[in-house]
Amino acid sequence: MKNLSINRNRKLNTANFIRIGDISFFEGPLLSLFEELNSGHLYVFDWVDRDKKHNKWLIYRVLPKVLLQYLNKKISHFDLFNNRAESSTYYTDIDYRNQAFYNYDALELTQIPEDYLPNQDNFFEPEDCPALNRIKVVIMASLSKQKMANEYSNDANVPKLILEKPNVDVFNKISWEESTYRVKANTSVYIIPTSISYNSYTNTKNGPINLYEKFDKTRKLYANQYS
Amino acid sequence: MTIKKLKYQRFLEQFPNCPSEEFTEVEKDAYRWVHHPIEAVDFLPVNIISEPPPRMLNDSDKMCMGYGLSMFDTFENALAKYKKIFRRMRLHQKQHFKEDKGTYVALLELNKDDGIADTPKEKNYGHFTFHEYEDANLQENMKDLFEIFKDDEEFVN
Repeated sequence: MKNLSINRNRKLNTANFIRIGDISFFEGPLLSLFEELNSGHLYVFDWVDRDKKHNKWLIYRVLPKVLLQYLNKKISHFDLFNNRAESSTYYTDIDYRNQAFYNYDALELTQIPEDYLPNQDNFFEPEDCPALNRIKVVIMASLSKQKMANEYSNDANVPKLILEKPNVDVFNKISWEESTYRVKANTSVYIIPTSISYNSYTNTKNGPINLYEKFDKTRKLYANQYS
Repeated sequence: MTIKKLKYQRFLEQFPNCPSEEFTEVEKDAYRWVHHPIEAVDFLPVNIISEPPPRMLNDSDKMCMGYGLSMFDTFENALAKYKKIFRRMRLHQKQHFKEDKGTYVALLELNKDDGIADTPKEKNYGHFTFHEYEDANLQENMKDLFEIFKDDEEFVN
């Protein structure tokens, strides 16, 4: 693998990343989409290299509208990378033990090897994307959230949905990723007390609950109050 | 009647409905990317190969299909899928792809005693997954071997 120029002091915290789905898949992920739970920012893990013991992934933030352009074949993989939301690009090496991605450091690259740049003539192939519908739902939610953020600016008083990844399995037979996906997709999730909170509100009720609905109601109340 | 055991049963048992009911015994020709001469990894599922390690980001990648062998229904489809993936790769990844997958396509005769397969997916170049039975030795079923490249970079057609 290439020798990389890295900044060891700049780490990307991937602990609150949830996996949305693979944008490109063959015998394993090649390009995979993640959402940072609290910011709602979208990141991709882009497989760029391997040796006998590791797989290397570039990690970069993408804008939902740019990702949508890529999915609509308007721009190439190279353009998706080139128009990333922030110039900061990270990498992670996942070793042969294949623990979950968040167990490995994601460090900032100070220089991106030319060999790691995607090909200019690579365009999205829907048949390689097993999770296209789910990815599109998340992009639409992200675009709508962006619109909402523009409407209410960055006022710190606007209620924010804050999800914290629990240390224990608090959900009823569904994974944390599925639970958070359901919350974001505005469908109900069955949770055990104190597993999810937004602002000072913490759920203390067993059973199915639609957290997004409650969050949205608070947001609208706030909007009416200040409009 | 003897119950046939799958070669990677202990791994497959970790997944619900694995392999699914869609998988049945088959008697047909199949095409698989291999090295020439044949290497041990040519008939190993990706999740069993340790060097290089399988591409995984979390446990959701430890999928049932990762313990089966990728095959294609025709030589043309096997070649077309290889070309498609190869062309999308970065230069150094192309070299790795050749090292990992080989540069030949083997014609294999699959029999009912060899294992079970799902239906070839028309939208995915006739790709199907094959789960071998414990005693299967697919290398013995190889009927022919075709080159993928004319020379180092150019495909045969």
